[in-house]
Amino acid sequence: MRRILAPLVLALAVAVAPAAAQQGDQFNHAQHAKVFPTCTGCHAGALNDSRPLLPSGQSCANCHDGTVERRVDWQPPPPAGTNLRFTHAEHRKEVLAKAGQDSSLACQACHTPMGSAWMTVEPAVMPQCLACHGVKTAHLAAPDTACATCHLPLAQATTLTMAQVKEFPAPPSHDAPGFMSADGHGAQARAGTGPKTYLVAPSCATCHAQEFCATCHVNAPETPTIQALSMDPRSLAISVTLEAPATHAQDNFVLTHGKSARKSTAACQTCHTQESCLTCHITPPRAVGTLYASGPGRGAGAQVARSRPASHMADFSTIHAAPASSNPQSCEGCHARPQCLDCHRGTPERTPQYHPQTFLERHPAAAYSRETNCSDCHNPGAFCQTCHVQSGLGSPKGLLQAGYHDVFPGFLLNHGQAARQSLETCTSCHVEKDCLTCHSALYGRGFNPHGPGFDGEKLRSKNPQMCTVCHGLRVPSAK
Amino acid sequence: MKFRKLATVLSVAIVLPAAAAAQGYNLRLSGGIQGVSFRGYTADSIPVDSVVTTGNGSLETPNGYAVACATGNLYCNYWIPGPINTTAPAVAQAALTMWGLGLPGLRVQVNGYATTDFNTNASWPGTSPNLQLIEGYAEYAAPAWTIVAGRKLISGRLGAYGFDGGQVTGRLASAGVALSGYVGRGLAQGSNLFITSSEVNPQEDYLPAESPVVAGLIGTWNSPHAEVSAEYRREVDQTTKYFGSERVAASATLRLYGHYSVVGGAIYDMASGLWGSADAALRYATPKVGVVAGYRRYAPFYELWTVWGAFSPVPYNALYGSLSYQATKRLQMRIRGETYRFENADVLTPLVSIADSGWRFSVGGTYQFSNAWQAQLGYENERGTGAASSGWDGNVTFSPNGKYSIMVYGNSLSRPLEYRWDQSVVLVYGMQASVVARDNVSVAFTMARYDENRERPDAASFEWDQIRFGAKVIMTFSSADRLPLPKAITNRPAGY
Repeated sequence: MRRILAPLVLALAVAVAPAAAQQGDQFNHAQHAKVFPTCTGCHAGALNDSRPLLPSGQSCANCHDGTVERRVDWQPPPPAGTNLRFTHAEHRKEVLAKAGQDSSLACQACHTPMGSAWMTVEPAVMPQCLACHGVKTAHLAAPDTACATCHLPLAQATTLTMAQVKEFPAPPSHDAPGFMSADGHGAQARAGTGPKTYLVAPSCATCHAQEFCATCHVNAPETPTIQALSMDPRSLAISVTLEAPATHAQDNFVLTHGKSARKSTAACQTCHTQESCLTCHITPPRAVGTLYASGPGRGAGAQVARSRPASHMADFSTIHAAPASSNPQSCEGCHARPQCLDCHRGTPERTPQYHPQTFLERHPAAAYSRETNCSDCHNPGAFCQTCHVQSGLGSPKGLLQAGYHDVFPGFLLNHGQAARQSLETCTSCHVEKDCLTCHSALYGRGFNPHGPGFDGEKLRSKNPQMCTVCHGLRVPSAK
Repeated sequence: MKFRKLATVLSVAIVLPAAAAAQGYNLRLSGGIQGVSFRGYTADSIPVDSVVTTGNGSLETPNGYAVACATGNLYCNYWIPGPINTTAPAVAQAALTMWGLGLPGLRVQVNGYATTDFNTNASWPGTSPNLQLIEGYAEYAAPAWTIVAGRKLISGRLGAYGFDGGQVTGRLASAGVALSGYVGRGLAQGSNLFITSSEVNPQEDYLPAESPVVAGLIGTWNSPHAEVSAEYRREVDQTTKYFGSERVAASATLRLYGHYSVVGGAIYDMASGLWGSADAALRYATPKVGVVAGYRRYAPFYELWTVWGAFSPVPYNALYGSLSYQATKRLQMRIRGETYRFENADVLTPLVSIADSGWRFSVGGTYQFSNAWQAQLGYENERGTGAASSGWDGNVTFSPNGKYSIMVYGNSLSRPLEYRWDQSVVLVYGMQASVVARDNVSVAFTMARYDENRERPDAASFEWDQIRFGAKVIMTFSSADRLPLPKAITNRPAGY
């Protein structure tokens, strides 16, 4: 075993650490297969710490001098960042003991796929690394206990650049269904806890730091697993998109989320700050207070956009009375009281809100057969009559001005049906004195205005004063 | 004088939050003005001898106005187009909420405005008196009860009703039950004023000398599948102790299954012994589709201090349905229709033929071209008793971000009347723009041109164009400690 391990380690050191350099300068090892009989002739650093791992440009010029071979201008690249714990120095003694002094054989064991020709070089033959370390899975599926064998946590891999971090491959576990849930990556992150414990799984720490988790977790400062990670802004190079749980996609989620939140906000406070709730809730429910407030050191978490509940359909403004009266607290969650008053007690200066632009011109049709109750928001006297009087339609002296309703010449004598159907419209211009000219039992012509459903006895029992307007003190008995 | 009152209200509204040692406050200040014209009629008369008979037998003045002549009268009446009244109502409004105030659970709400009309010849409705308080109350909320004192608007199936007084609410949160009672001095319907105010009685009609005492009860029950409320309200004359009104009402929302729900309610007038307005609808609502099918009954309501209730206004019954459909991510369509018929008016009118039924229909759609561009188009037609209307409306909105938006729109309207020869044809085109100047300041501006023709077969027809405008500034202020939430909010009773 040790005979295998040693050359593998050596090979890994040679191949992986300068991998970027090899890829960067595109040195073609195979093309030079007949030139170099050993590896350490160029890579002397693999054997001796005081020597460089890569050859100098002068070494190339020994052949590429413009005479023997064309001149090349090559210089060894600077050391690339890495998160490997491996160094040649640590493994040298063991490698040489097992592979003898023939370092080339040791190098081939790791850098050359089995059965390949001399100088067929790869950065590392990973399965052989893993086999040597006793890892029986694919590299990225290695157990948590194995990662730290070769890899430093991200925060300690100080030579890595953000670009390198961004290129970290994602393990297959990250594509598993449910990975984004608490039972997925959350459980995996806590998997290290136990007798041989880590506060956070080393596999997570290899690629991630607190900043990454805080992208979604607004409770990161209060979560021990996340706090066990170091802080490192390079972790933000790996982008992540916060995905809403499946429950949030349910059609009635807006309606039902309050009930869940009132039971517990433990799940909510993973991704949501109080700011999320205040996006919609004008008057914050008590449950909001159990969430964390946004602020320095805490990520933004889920970004909430205000949206209409499904129940608020196009005609909701005309039918909202029933739900609003039976559960006003629900409305108050998102609507400030001034919003209700803007319509129900609008000011004289009113930008179009409830009514369409042309409503002033259109309002006779809406008023004659009311689609809604005008007097919920408008006082018939202060609003309707005030305007109609100024428009010449009132009768401030109590005198009927005949001739306005000129479609029917006999309208004055036959207005009964129109009046009973649209009495509210009549009273937007006419006052009682107009009608009592004819309909009063005392002073008028005695035309009886009472119609279907009139219960004089009942009305008199509630307010006899109304009866005396027409009947004086001699109110006839309904019996 | 008017400017001084305006300035006073603004100053008080700004100083109040600073003066009060509140844990927090929200204040919305707004100021707006609009310019609008309206034009009515002028009644006139002419001696019978001066009336001329036209070729088709109708009677007119010598200059072509149709006249109405009653048998035996020496004069005939006619109506000519009235003067153009141009008004410029202006409003400065403050809506303030304060909480904390050293006592967790205590909240103060104030909403009022100062208003005036810069035109002295005519005034826009609602501009008098110059100072009006919509609401102003203090509320203390404990986990199981809430007490309110001041001017408050009660909203429910019995309508939005204002009063000066107190309200006590008790809650049993675990059972979803709440019971509320209130008593006070009632305000006039749809108004911030008392019934004794001359502004609500411009024609000096018979109205009570005192505002009534109002008392009511509201009970609500909420569960995951149902929300139910019941209301009782009475108004009583302070001197005579006679009733001004006595009504009960109930509302319910039942979530039956999935996306289906039933919403409805009814009013019963205990004073007259008659059922009032009522409705019931089956609703199907998802984010993509909304369907409503329902029944509706509309019955007018009059207090007992008027005689109008004794004139037996009849209700109408309606069936209606609506559909809204999110056809694609960008296109939403909607359609609504209603047909209604009045109940038997039980009156003979042999000389006139008046419709006792009608219908309404509207269809429209909204298309979202992009995040910035949106267009909307709609058509509406209404045929009923007294009047009818039909017309198109459309608009295009450009709103590239939350900072500003601009909309151009157009409307067409045809509005014939049933009881008078008058068909208004109106064409409107205009724009409205809004800008969020700062985080807490927004400005809106509207301008529109109205081309109106009033078509009649006599000289009383006219063409009239006008430009209307409006401008509004809204400023909002909040205490800086909104986050984290103050105790006044985190200690709120359950259910809030």
